[in-house]
Amino acid sequence: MESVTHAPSTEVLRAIVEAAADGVVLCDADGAVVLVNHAATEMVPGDVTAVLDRSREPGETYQTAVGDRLLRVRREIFGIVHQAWYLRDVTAEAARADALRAERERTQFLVEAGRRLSASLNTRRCARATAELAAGLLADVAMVVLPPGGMRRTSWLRSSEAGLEEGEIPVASADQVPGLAEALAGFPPVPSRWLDPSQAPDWLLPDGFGPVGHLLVTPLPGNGVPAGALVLARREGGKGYDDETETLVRVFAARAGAAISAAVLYQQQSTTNAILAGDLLPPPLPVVDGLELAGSLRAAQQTALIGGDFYDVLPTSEGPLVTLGDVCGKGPRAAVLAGQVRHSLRALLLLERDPEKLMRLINRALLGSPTPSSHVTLVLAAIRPADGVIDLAVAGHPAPLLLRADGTVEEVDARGSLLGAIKSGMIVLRTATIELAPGDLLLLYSDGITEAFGGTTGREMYGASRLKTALATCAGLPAGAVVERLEQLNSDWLAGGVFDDRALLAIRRSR
Amino acid sequence: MSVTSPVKVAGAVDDYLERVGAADEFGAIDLVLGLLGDGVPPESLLLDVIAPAQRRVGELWAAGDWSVAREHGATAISERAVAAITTSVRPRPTKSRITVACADGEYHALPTRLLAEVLRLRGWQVDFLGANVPGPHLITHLHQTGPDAVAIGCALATRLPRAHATLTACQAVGIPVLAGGAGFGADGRFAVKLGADGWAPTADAAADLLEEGRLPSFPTPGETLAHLADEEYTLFVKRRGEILARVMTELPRRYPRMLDYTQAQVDHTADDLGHIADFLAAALYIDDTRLFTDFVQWTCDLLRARGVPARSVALALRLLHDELHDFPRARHLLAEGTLAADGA
Amino acid sequence: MDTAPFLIELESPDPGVTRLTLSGDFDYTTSGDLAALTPTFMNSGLRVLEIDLSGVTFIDSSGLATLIHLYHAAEEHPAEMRFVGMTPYIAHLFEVTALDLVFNLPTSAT
Repeated sequence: MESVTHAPSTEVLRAIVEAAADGVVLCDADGAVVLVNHAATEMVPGDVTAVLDRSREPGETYQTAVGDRLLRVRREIFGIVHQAWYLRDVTAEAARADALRAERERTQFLVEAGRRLSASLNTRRCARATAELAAGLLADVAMVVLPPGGMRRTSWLRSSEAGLEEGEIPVASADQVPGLAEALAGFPPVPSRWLDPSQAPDWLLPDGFGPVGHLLVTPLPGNGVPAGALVLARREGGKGYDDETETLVRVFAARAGAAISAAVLYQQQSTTNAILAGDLLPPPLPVVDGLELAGSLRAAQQTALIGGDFYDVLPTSEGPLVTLGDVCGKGPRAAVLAGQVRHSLRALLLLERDPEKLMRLINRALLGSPTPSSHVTLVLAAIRPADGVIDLAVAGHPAPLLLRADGTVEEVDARGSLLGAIKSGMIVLRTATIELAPGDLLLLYSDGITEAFGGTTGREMYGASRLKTALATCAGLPAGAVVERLEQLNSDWLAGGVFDDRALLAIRRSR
Repeated sequence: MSVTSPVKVAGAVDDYLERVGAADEFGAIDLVLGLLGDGVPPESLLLDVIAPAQRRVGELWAAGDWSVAREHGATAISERAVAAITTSVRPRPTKSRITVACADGEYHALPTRLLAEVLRLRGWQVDFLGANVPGPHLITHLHQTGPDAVAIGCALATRLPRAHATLTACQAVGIPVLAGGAGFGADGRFAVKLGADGWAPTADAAADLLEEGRLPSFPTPGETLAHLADEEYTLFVKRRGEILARVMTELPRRYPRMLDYTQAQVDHTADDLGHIADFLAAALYIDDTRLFTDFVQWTCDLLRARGVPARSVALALRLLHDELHDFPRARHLLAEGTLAADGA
Repeated sequence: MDTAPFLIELESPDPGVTRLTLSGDFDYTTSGDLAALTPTFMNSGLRVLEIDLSGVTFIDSSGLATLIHLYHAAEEHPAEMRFVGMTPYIAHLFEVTALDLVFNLPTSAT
């Protein structure tokens, strides 16, 4: 403590302070500047007191900008009465940290973009994800303009603080946004600084957005399929698009474009599939006076939704012809043959309504079919709704069940050969004619129902007797409820196990 | 817009119930269309008349007052009453697209259908896929239509494992999931556990949630269910057949009255045992004891209402407990279930 | 569901006679096995083709189709095809499809 009594001379102090690499500013007890070293003069060319924040406590550190420099300043007690301000130029250090943070932000952005863009195969969802992702880091407003696809109008999705908006513009309007028509045509992006933001049309921006400061238009490159364009805008006074951001936008646009074009491709293909499969799905049942009709069809291959079981109700002037059948095989191949049988029946019905004669015609048609294994089992029921009389022919198929209004269940006494199977063309048919009294119900079903493996052991067949027992509990129910209940009981039996195509069709004579 | 008092709507529930119970389809439809003509809002008809009446139908069946057939018939009429209301209103869609579907294996379509119709009435563009929607079908639909959200209805907790698979698959294709229905728990705790993006107890609450934009635009998948690592659920489901077969052979030895059962009665017992197994599996999957004990309690009440001694339930639980040597979690559930059955 | 594995046994109890013993689930997924094997026994020496189905637990339409193909192939060969083993389930199936009127079945099963 001895040395404290001899304060160092001003000359010694100046020498020490001048030698320091950090900037040093010394003030006396009244706050007047007594000394500024060379380094400090370098850092603050003008009035040095401008960087001294006297509200700071001794020991405190803060940062302040001087021109394009960033200074870190620390206030300290110096000696007994003096105050010292130490200045350090941290511009480079901060820039490094900023660059690192920006790099991390870009990586995180691309990871999140990958996660969201890879999820969907839906064009709108992918476009939405693109706009929402971009509106966060890359822009104040982001708009995805989808490819026109040969139409006069094209749709867009926009994300901003106003939320998600969607709309359509005439394709010709793309010319109003600098660079958009080029981007939609797949030309490389034009740097943002060449685009005049004041030219942005109103439809590009949400209401009350204010003047645009920066505009960036980037094509979404698809894999051979155009994927549209991404339009980004920042407000006046906001940060411009530097080279690094423009590079990031291009990388992002490539990912978004790949996702959108895959989705466009998927949508085209699934639309085609849906059109083709639509004809193979069970038809909506017609309303027939005096009858209740209800059907259920579950295909074994769940994704295809189509299979070898089918049914149809074909109206004629005398009453409907109801058909339920099962073609050999599974999946789309079987469904195509099922569709052919349904169409043949529809055409044959113009000439012939008798179930037995129809069976023989279908059999001959199948035997002449170039497709191997065109085997079909079929039930045909020609119904006269007025008096409930039904002519039935059964070919290679389980006989339909009859549920009387009092709850008794009978098996219809009809049987016959598998169609399209025996080359000699010889088929045997024993037809039946039955009468539905009001409240009676006729159930047509495929063997997928009775041959469902399940039960407690998982290896037991559901069987015709369980089906009959279940049907007996359905007396008095509307046809729809009967089908639903039988399908539910059968599915419970399967307990989620693998199953065959299953079809049920109920015809009930109204009371 | 409504000039009808809530009292009138509440009074209509009994009237409506009586008509569906008597299989009076035209009477039931005339009643709701009459109220619609009197100015009762269609949403109120769906949620304040048909929904409570259908709840009563379920209770009447559970109490043994109504047969299964009567219950099914009533539900079929309610389906038509809903169709009659919605076809006469025909709202114009002004909002975006929502997909509504029942979980895979779920046949109780009406509650989910009511949600679909309420959303439609409020201007959403709704695709209702119906009961028992296979997962792959739903996912294909989501890719094709790209809705803002998918609402999944699950009335029975036993469908939860499959509902979870569906829910995860929907989230994986980037569509947020709104869960609803009694199957997710009265307080929605199973919806939370399975990582649904939202849950609502009723159709109108679900509609409010969607309207207020409380679902994220992109889903956040739930945590993985760590307890499944013990494989008890997997092994139990895989061996379900053999385990139940052993219990079925053991049952008559411990409960001699079974020896005189008809085939139908034996099948019925096997069905009941199957339900116990399904709920046990669901409780193992979700790791929730109350899911199982609530079911046991409910079953005992149900049996008692039908004059069947609940002792058989406790016995079945004990036999299952003895079969499942290497399943500590299942044994714990069964022990708790036995307590619930004894106390019931 | 665990399915019963589909097995085909081929033996020749007498000269010119080939016996096929099938067992397990004979369906969409397994019927191709028999079709693939057909050329190996449809040889010049074949006079009688015997088919034993007593071990078959399940036949679907694809299984039936394969039997019908075999029947047609035997007819053209020519060889006699006859069934020597049946179960009530299969007999019922043949009856439903009226194949009992086409196939040569053991008398006890019809």
